[in-house]
Parts: sequence; structure tokens; C-alpha cells
Amino acid sequence: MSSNANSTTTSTRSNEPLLSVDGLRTFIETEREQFPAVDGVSFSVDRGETVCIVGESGSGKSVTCESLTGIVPQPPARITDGQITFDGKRIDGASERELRSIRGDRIAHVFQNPQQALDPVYTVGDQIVEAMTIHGQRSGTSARERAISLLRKVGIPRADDRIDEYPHEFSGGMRQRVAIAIALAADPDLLVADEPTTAVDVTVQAKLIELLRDLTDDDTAILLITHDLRVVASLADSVVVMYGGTIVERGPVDTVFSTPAHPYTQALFDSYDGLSRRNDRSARGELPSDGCRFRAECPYAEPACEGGDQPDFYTLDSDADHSVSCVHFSPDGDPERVLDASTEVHSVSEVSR
Amino acid sequence: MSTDPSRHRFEDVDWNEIERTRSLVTSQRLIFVVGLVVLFAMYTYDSYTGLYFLGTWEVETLDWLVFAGLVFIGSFVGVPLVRHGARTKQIVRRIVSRPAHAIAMGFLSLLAFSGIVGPAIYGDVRISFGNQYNPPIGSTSKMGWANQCAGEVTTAADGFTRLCHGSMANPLGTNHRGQPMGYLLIEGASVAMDVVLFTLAFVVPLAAIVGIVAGFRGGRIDDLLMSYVDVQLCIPAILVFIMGYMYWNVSLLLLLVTFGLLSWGGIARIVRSETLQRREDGYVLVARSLGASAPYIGRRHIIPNITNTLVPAVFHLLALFVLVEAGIAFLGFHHIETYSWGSTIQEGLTLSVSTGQSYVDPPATSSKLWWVSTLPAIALTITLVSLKLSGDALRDALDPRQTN
Amino acid sequence: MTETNAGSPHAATSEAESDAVDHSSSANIEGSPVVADSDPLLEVRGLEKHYPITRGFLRREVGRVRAVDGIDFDIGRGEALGLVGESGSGKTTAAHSILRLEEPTAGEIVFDGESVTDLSGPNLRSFRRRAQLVVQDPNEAFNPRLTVGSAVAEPLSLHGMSDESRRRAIVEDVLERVGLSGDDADRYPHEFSGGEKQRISIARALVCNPDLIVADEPTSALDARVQSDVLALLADIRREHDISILFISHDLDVVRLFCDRVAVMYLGEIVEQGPIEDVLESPAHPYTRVLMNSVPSLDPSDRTFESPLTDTIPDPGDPPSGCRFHTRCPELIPPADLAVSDEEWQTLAAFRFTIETGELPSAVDPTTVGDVDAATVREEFDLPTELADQELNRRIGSAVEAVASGDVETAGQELASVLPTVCEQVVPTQSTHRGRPVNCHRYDPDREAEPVAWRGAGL
Repeated sequence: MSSNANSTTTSTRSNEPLLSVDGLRTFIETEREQFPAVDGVSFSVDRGETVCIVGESGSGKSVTCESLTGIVPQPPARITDGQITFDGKRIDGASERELRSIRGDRIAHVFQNPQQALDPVYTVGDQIVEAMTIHGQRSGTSARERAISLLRKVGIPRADDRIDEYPHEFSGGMRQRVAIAIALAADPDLLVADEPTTAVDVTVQAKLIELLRDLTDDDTAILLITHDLRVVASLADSVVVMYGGTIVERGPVDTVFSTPAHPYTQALFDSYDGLSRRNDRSARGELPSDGCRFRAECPYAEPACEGGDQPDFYTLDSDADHSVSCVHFSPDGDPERVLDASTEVHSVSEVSR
Repeated sequence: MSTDPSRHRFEDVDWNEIERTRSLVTSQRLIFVVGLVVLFAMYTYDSYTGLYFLGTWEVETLDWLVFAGLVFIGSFVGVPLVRHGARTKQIVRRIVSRPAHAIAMGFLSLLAFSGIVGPAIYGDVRISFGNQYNPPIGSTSKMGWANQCAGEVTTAADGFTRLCHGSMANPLGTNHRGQPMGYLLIEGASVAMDVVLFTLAFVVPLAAIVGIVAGFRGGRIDDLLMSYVDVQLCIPAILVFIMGYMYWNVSLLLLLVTFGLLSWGGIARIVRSETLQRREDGYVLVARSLGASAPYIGRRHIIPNITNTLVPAVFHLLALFVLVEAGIAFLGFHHIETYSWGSTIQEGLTLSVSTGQSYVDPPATSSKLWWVSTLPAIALTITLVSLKLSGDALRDALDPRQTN
Repeated sequence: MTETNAGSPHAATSEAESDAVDHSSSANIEGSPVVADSDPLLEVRGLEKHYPITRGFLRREVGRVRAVDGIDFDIGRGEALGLVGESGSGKTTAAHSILRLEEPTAGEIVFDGESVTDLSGPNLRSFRRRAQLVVQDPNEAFNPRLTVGSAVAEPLSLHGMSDESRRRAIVEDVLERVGLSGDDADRYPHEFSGGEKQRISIARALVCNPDLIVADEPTSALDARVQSDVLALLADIRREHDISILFISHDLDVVRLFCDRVAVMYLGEIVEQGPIEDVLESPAHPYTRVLMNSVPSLDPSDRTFESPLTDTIPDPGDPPSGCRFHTRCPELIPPADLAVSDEEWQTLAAFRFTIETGELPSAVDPTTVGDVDAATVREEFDLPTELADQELNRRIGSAVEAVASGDVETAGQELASVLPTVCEQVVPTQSTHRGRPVNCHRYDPDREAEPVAWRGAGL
């Protein structure tokens, strides 16, 4: 993943990322308050690459992805800023009509809860065929054949029978597979999946992960949103860690998992390691609206973390693609102070099963 | 609050002590039972000696039932409202914050007050045909030769017709029997309140209990109750009422019983389906694991959570029953001494037929004597609109998730 | 709690179990609950909960869903037992039966020496006070129309505490102890985050000073960090008040963080139970191994999952004969006289049970693709073309032909007769592996089959 969106303009077409987002800002406006749910987010996704956005609820990870194709409900959301380039074309500020032609056709979404994505009164076959015909692909018997082959591709046995069944006749995991089949109907270049494995059993989750992994072999890029580092480890090529509407760390999955640099990323890993005790509510505090958003919870916070915007990205010595938004990694900072505390716990040998 | 710190710590609660002092008496139950006992004593006294509460008001069977309903509503709705004063104030604040809702609720309160207390204060108004067709203030009417006019009498421009002017004696005018319109409106309000209170006290609880039992118990009980509701929904209440009308003395009670007991199916179905949805919710499971009884869960966890659909449905039913009563009375199937708005409207529209001795031009009557039917029609309309608006007002005010 | 890890509950193990187990006693750290007498708080014996499948207006019973089908376990005082399984394994039904939210079909539940099913009147009320429930979804755990204060006070008032000011004082105190403030009592549930709601849930369970908390997936709806906070709170409370916890989860990874012991359920039965470290270090039952293999590793270079034989979870209304896991078991026992390698046996067994479930992969489904030739079938199932045993070779061949011609039923019968296994014929009895009970033929000394060594690492 190229971490800097500006570099894309100089690279040749084939090296250009499929999707690049630069400085995306989305506000949520309610009668009572207005706050930036996404506050200056930049990342990119290459063709056939799997990028995972990790964060907890309220980190802005879902709003980020829903802002890409404008499916975030507006209002209350309002996209105020940012360049989104998809396949060499700017799609931010595109008209609803243009966005509709991209949505589903080139960029498809899969949501956490397949119940919401599937219409209970149509058979799954109808819904797949509908997704194809909306994008002017095919109709008639050839569409049906393709729908069957899609169901087969997502691992649904007896696809020819089950195509005529209704969503309620499928189990939770199978329903999620159907939702993925619908998303794949128009042969998208990018699949945006928002917590697709959260609501299912571990055994089913394993199957879904294998399925998503197979998709990237066909050169489909995946942007996966999750709060579960285990899912990230099993799928991602690169990782984007979000906190409080901003990106705090990004890089290839191997280096981020072997040397989690940002204190927040480290805290995330800690929660897999044992029970944390953040009982005191006041210690968690309010989310700061400037400076490093994590500083209220950060054990390494200092005055330099306050004020201004989320700190710049500094690359780690170990990997030029791995960068972190933390003042301790700036040229005048002392990265060892943060890293030392973590390396004992987070060497790869420790976290492996 | 006690200063003993052990009283603040859950570990130090002596449950054996609490178990020993546990009692089934709650203020709600106490007030309900005491209210019923007092009511029964008064009823017994009334049946032997005759009793006048206020003025010359004769208390009838329907009134007794409505009193019982008031005791029920007062103890199970009123007492909690008083006990949770802060919550009540919040609900009132929310209602008041929306002018339309506040006006509607205000009108209903006025209606309730005049409907319950008004007839007793007004007393029995004698029929005096001589006083017929006195107009309301600011209006005039032609007078027959035998008419008396409480206000000023002038002669019209033709020099022959005498005109009666409205006066403070009968500010809203009189009808063909010389009864003041104010009295008739209050009598009509009283009838409407009887309808509303009877429905609230008997029909709605019946529907809610059937719905909760069916939804909560499920299985065969659910099948039986819902099959019964289906059958009941197919029986036209008006047909049963007219059959009753032919065999028994017609009365408001007969109307309320036939319509009330045959029309709760819709609400029972709403309550049942909402109960089914909430039965498996976490808080119901937790309450069950704590040993809460089904009536407790229904009252505390199910009903408050279905107010979004239940309250508007109930107020819609109330409006419907008020309208049905007026309609039946309009058609003439009412007790002759029950002055419902519906019957007053009908009398105003067919004056020439009902008043043989009238001196007035038959074709012109209805429009020239407009107040007789227009005033109750306005009262009925405002009541119906207020009921619908109040349903919405209560629904919004009861939902803590709604923000003002 | 001053030290973060010193008393962490997954390190703590109750004494009651340690005599049966050879794990090091150093697991008992100072401050961990040590049970003096071996009398458990809760004993579950042969618990069954069947739901009749009925038909028609008269509700004639035509079958039974065996949601829980004879399970036994104990929970010691102050101990946390994890009950793990996939959805449909019956773990929630078991929990509800223990709390008498459902009447068990059979079996005995003994709580503090008294049979729960016989309780009534004040004794039942006392049980309902001493055993509390924490439910899964924080969003539906609270009546949205009641303030948090009245929700937490509800157990008190239901159990007869009529003094309102005292209830309020206790509620404020307990809210502060779970990390919220006393003023929060006047706020409504929707004003709190998921993690805060789950803290309030714990406060509500705690307020009656219970001896047992049944926690049904209390953290599965939460983010990792919030989850670990809530678990830490539950662990502190448990230690401070010596509360036993029945912890229900589908995720062994969470159970690892919280529980002393674990019982693994599959289709209404417990297949294995034991101290959590032992089970995770060397899981004995093949199903436990499948569950562990399904948890993705935190190491990005280790991305393989070992799959079960087939993915279809059988219908609990018609569970498989013998060992209920046999249709999916990667360690199915081959017949003694069958001359095939372990790998060949696995592919053959996978072939057999995939055919039997009827969930044919579409590539060999004759109704989808029209003519299928035997080679395709062999390729799809990775079947060995040449087996040492000629008779076996021939009969597998005929089954393959039958599949290719669309006659799945004949193929299934053929495979069932040529590839019999003790696992489908005999219900496994309880055996012991390293001192803990396991229901698998491979651990039965009377069977010839030997346990398969566990190759994986811990979670």
C-alpha cells in the first residue's frame, strides 16, 4: 500500500492504486451537536489487495467506507472535504447518478448483518439477478446460470436448488455468503465489507475468511472493516488503524503485527493478552477534538500531543511502509520509549497460537 | 436517608429479615380495594334509600360502573403518576412543549371536568316549550306568538315579525324544548365521558390482558384466544346492538357493552404481537429469572414499551366509540332522556318535524336556527380531533428516547 | 485490585478440580479463590431439555428437538465455568434450564445442596435471588422506558425491599462500584455505550448479592478492548464476593481470558470438560480441536484453518447416531480391517459424509451441471485412484459411478456399508484423558483406536 496519496499522480497507470482517499472528512450533524466522525483520513487500496481498517465503535471506520460511494445517510452525515480517486477518476462530489453507476458495479458493499441486506420477500436468485440487471449486465437464462455459478463460488452447496429459496431458509453464515454473492454479481473491482464475520460462530467465521481470501485470487480488492485483530491477521495485506475519526497507524500487516507502534494499537493487542482494567470512567475521558485523539487514554501522553491536528505520520526504521501518527516517532521524539514497553509482549512468537 | 453505611451496601442486606417483612400490600392495591369497598357501600345505601350525590343527580347503573372504572384508573394509573412525580412532571412538560398537543389535552381535561361534574352542578333542567329557540348572544331569531324571550325583543324591519335577541340567561341559546344549549352540550360531554371512561376502564384492560396472556403463554392458549378474536371481529357490533335494542330497554350501557365487548380484538392483536416480540428481550428474561410474575412483567415491561403503538390505537378506539355513540343517537336509537350530541344534532336538523307547534317557516328552520345542531357538531369535532392529537401527544411524551 | 495480572482469573483454578488434574499447583496465586470444602455450589446431573415438535390444532407431538440431552457438570464456589459451543449446541437452553426459566425435561440441578426443580415459595425466591442472569445483547438488556436506577433496583424491589431510599442508596453505591457514577441512576439506557450498559447489567446482577451469575455471551457484542474491560470487572467482582460464574460463549478465546474450567458442548451434549489451561494446551475431543483451529491466529504468517470433515451442523431434531460429531469428525475411527492410510481414510470419510448430508458440491451435482463423469467426482473429493484393497477400490468406484449418475442415495448406502465406523454405531461413554472427562471412542481403553496427538499450539 502506498501510504501517501500524492505519490499516485506521478506513478504510471498500472502502479496507480485502485482506490485512494485523501483527507476525507465527514461530519455528523444532529440537532444537538456537530462533530467530525471522520476527520482527515487518507489511505489507498491497490488492485487485488486486502486492506483492513481496524477500530472500535465510534472510531469512524464504517462512516469512512460508507462515505466512499456516498451510501452514508446524508443527513445526518455531511462529507465536507477530501479527494476520493477510484480507478484514476475523482469520485468525490460526483452526482448521485454517477455514484449509482459505480456503486455495486465497481465498488460493492457487504454489511455486518445479512438480514438487512437481503429482502425477505424475494428468492436469493431474484436478488442476485436483480443486482446484475441493475448494472445492465444480462438477463434471462444466462443471468440465472451466472447467479448459480456465483452461489457456487461463495460455497453454497446444491446451488441450483437453493437459488429458488428465500433468505430465511438459509443459516446465518449461508446468508452472509448470499450477501457476498449479490455483492459479486456485477463483478466489482473493490468489495467493501463492514464486519462481515462479527455476528457468526467461529467455525463459520473461518469459512467466510477462507472465502474472502479466495476472492482476492481473482484480483478483487477488499476493504474490510473489523474490530477483531484476529480477523485482520488472517486476511489483510495491509492494516489501517483508526481511532476517534483519524488514522493512527498504517502499514503492512506483518510489520504492524510484529511491532505495533502507536500506543492505541498496543492497547488493542493488550486486550487479547489478558484482562485490562480501565474501570475508572473519568480516566477514559472525553475524546479530544484536536491534537492526538488518543492522548486522553495514552500512557505516554505529554504536552506535545496537545493542540494542532492529529500528528503527522512518521515512518518506522524497520519498514518504510509502516507509519504511525505519534509525536514520539518524530525525529525529535524517543520511539524506544513506546516500543520498548511493547516488544516484550508483542513479538510474533508470543502472539502466535 | 439513613446515615448507617451498611444500609448502602448490597452485601449487608439481610434478606431473611426482608423476606419476613415482605407483604403483598402495595399502595395501588390498597387504594383499589378501599375504593371498591366504599363504592359498594354507597351502592348498597343507594339501592335501599336513594341517594343524591350532588344536586338532583340520580346515579344509574352506568354511573356506578364508570365510578368503578375511575377507581381502577385512579389506583393503577393515578397512584404511580403521583408517586413518580418527577417523571410525571417531565411528561407534562413534554406535552406542554407542543402547543397543539397541549391545547388538545387541555380541551379533553375541560371536557372531562364538565362531563363528570357539570351535570351535577347544572341540576335537572325543566323542559319549557315556551322558552324555545332563544338564540345565542349576538344572534337573533324570529319568535312565534307563544314564545317567551329571555332577552331583548325587537320588531324586524317589516314591522310585523318579532325578533328575539340572545341574552346572558341562555348564552348559547335554547332548543325546541326550551332547554339551554349549554346544558345540552354538558349532557353530551357527560355521555362522551361515559363512553371514554367505560372504554378505558373495561375494554382496554380486557384487550391488553388478552393480548399479553396470548403473547406470553403462547401455544394452545394463544391459538384459542386469537381464534376467538377472529370470530369476534366478524360479528358486527351494530347488529347485536339493534337486536338488544329490540328486546331490552335501550340505554347507553347496552351500547357500550355491545360495542365495547365486540371491538377490542384489534387492540388485543396489537398487544399480542408486540408481546411476542418483547418476550425474548433481555430485560424480560432477567425479570423472569428474578421470579417476576406474568402480570408484573406485563405491567412494568411490556405495556410501557408498546405505548408507541398502543396509545394511538387506544385513542383512536376512544374517538371511534364517541363517534359511534353520536351516530347511533343521531339515528335515533338512543334513550329519550340521554341528551347525546348526536341526538341534539339530529334534532337541530329536523326541527320542523319534531316541533309541531313551531311558528317558523319550515324550509328555513335548520339554517336560521343554526345553533341547535352546529354547537354540538363543533363540540363533537373538537373532541374527536383532541382525542387523536392527545394520543400522539402521550405517545411522544411517554417515550424517553424522544428529545425535545 | 492493585496488580493487573496477579489475580487474573484464567490463572486461578479451584482446588476442587486440582486433585483430578496433574497441572502445576503454582496456578493458584495468592488472592485467587481457593475452595475449602469440595462441595460444589451447583451440580447438574443428566440435564435434558427437549422441545416437542407438534402439528395441528391439537398439537400432536411428532418429534423432539433435543436441545440439551443429558449433560453433567459442577461449578465450585467462586469458580468460573465456561460453556462453549456453536449456535444450536444448546448452551443457552442449558443456562435457562438451570435458572428455571425453562422447565427441564429430565435431570437434576442441585444448588447449594437443594434440588432446584423441587423449590417453591420462599426457597424458590431465595434461589432466584442467589442466581442471577446477565444477558448477551446490551441493547436489549434494559427496558428502554425505565431509568438505569430503576432497572438496577428492580431485583431489590422484586425481592421485597420496600424502602425506596435504601434501594436508591444501594443502587448508587453499586453503580459506583462497577465504574459508573451514582448520578447515572437517573439516566436512560440509550444514553450509555455498549460497554457501559454491560457494566450496568453486571450491577443489576450483583445487587442481590448472588452466589451464582449466569452470563450468556456477556461480551460478544463488544469491541475487543471494551470486552476485556468488562471481563476484568466481572473477574474483580467474582473474586471480591466469591461468586461462581457460568460463562456461556461461542468463543474459546474469551473463555481463555476468564474461566477456570471449560465444558465444550455439541448438539446438546458435553463432549469434553476440564481446567482451561489443560484443555487449551492439549484439547482431547476432535470437536474442541475444530473450535480451537477456527480461531484465527494473531500471527499473520499463520493463516491456515483445519476444517471439519463437513460443514453442515446436523439438525438437533434428528441428531446423528453414535457419537453426534461423527459426521464432521476429522479423527473418525476407521474400521480395524480396512487397509488404508490415515489420509486416504480421511478423504474417503469426507466423501461419505458429504454424500450423506446431500450437500453435494455444485461441480459434481448432476442436476446443475448435467453429465458428470467419475473422474470429476474423484477430483472434486480428492479421492485416491488406486487403493491397496481391491474390493474396497471396486466398491468406492461403484459409489463414485452412482454419484456421477445422480443416484446419491445408492452411493450413500454403498459408502456406509463399505466404510463403517464405530463412531456412528456406538454412543461413546465417558473416558478420561489426563484426568478429565472426554466423550470420544479414541480415549476409550476398550477400543483399538488410539488418540490422535494434538499438533496445534494453544490459543
